[in-house]
Amino acid sequence: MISRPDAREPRSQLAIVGAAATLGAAAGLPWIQSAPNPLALGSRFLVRNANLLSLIRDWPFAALIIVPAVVALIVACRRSPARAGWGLWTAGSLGLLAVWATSESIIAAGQASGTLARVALWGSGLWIALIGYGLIAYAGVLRLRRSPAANSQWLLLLPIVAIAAHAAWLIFYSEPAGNWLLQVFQQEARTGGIQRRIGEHLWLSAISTALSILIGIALGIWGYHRERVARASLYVAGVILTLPSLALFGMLMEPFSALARAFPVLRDYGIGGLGPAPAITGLTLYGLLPVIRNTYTGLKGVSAAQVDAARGMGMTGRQLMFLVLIPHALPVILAGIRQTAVMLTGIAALAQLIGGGGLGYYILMGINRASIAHILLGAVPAVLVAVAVDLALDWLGRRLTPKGLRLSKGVSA
Amino acid sequence: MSQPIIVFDGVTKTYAAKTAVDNLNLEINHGQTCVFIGPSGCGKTTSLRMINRLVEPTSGRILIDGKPNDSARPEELRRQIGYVIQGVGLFDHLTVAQNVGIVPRLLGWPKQRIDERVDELLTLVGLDPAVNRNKFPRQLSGGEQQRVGVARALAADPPILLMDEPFGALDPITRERLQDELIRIQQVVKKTIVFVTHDIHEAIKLADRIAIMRNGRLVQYDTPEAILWRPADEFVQEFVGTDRVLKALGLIPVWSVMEPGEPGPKWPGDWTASTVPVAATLRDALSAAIANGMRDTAVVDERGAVAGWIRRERLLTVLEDLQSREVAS
Repeated sequence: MISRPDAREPRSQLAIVGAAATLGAAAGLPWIQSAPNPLALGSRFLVRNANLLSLIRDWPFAALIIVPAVVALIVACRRSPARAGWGLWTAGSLGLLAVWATSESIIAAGQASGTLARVALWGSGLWIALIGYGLIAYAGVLRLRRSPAANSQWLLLLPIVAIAAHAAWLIFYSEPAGNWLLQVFQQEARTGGIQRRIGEHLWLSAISTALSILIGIALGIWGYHRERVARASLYVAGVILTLPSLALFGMLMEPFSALARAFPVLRDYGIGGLGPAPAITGLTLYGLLPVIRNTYTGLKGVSAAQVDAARGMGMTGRQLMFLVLIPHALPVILAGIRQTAVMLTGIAALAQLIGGGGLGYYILMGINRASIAHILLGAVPAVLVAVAVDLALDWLGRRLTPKGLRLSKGVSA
Repeated sequence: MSQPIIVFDGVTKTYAAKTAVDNLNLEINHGQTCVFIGPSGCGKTTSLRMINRLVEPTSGRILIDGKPNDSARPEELRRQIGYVIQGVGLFDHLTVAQNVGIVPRLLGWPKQRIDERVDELLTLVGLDPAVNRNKFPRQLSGGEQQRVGVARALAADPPILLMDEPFGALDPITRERLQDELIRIQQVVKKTIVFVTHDIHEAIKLADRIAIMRNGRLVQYDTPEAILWRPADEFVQEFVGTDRVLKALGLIPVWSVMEPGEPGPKWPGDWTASTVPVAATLRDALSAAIANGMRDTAVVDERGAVAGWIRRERLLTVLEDLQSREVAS
């Protein structure tokens, strides 16, 4: 439902939660942690900590961090018009930039003056403030989407582009940083490690998604014709999905190593108990259920009258499938593909458990070394890749849905 | 008079437990409208679906133009036979024009010929092509959808049209209107129509021949007149109902009994004549007369000009004739 710009909106609870979290974090949680090395427990600096504030006398530090949250809180609490979406969005994005920029200044100033130890890390308060401002900006976007006035939606991407550009500059071009997280990111990015892992991650998930789509659609179509095939394949795919991923990967190691023992030539192609082959197989098996289920239900959802009319006018089985059934089921099938793609992009992080590579490499390394920085180095790109895949397939799905199906029944133009 | 185009030759269809159609023998002539009617489960739809082989008979054969209908692939056969069903079955993802043009597309017609044919057919079924060709089925009303369904069935100009309760899901007013339209369209296209219904009014209105079925057997196959006045047995009599006089009136077109006349002298200033169109039946004329105190009824042509009159005396004479037949039978 599209609301008129002057209509009174309900309070934006998302923005209120975001603002409250930010203000709470700024009031009481550690902002920066400083330690002699990455494993040691360091000292914590709070926003209201005098030492911390004195580090950056030139910056109206607390105000920069706190004011956007207060503004957002006021805007969100008033039952404001949809136009207030711009207010929330601006406050959220400015807040994000302010938190980040001030933290960099603090660390840089602290290390220059010797107040902060060699290793500095973002504290929990700073993380929560980032999340809080993210929520505020997102609440603004949600509100703007409902308003017909806001057509310049590309503008909404501006803070994301700014943050990405800034992060890229920090990681690739800035001086080696005192921020431990940044140090790790810089090291891996400048040696090409992270690029390689992202590439592996995309490759693993893309190959296994493609295989899931091929096998899943074939089984869905077969199941449309034979009910028993549908029931059996849905059951098996469902059981596979209930297996813990670690167990599934482990179970696949043995057959693959047996295969490689029996046919040593396979080793030349990288097929063995460890490596991408069992990982891709496991991921493919995992991704089957949404594709089979949505293909089957999508095809079954085509009305009996359309099928009868198509057959009665002389369509062959193949024409019925490609001219009527699949175009009609396409939105549902694409939704299943999207679900599988996003799921597999996420689970691909576990492929490293059996030597499959991908971003799981950093996550496992971080767990082994108790290094939050490495865990984040794996997790943050993994999340970004999954979100990007989701958005891309959502867009594709809407583009590919035939216009006649987007209309709800009984609408006259 | 003319050659039969469809012949049922001892056709039987049995499903595991029951016989749906039992030894059906029937001939349908070129250009006629044959209506299958009967209670639910009498085998009328099965009979229709055996013509285009959506159902295959257990025994017996069906001849179309003298050739058994299983002498070619079923898809080839079906592309030569128009098919209209109760659920319409328009393809939601295609536009009206694409729906109508689908059989020509399957037959590989060039695009321009398809476009011309689509516009011609939409006009024939009473939809403005300019307004409707790019609409989607979900943007149409039920009646409009079935008009498109009829246009789609006629697209490749098939000699035979199968219609399985095509107006069954429509409201009574729309149904009546589409029946009139079908009669008009049939006068233009002159197809052989096989029509299934369970509505005796519809059957009498549309049929040249009515086939009454019961439990898979053909009970009577005759003209509407004969079905009304010479029912083969009690079942048919019961099925036709008690108001045979009214139904018989519905079989007599007004042009056959109207007297030519000028509006001027016979049109006294103190009352306005009821009017019926030339295409109406005496049943419509009677309704119009009753509404106007049983005075004379004017018959008007498409332009609204008076073409003639149904005199009160003439109407009553026809009624008395029919009543005496009713008493006699």
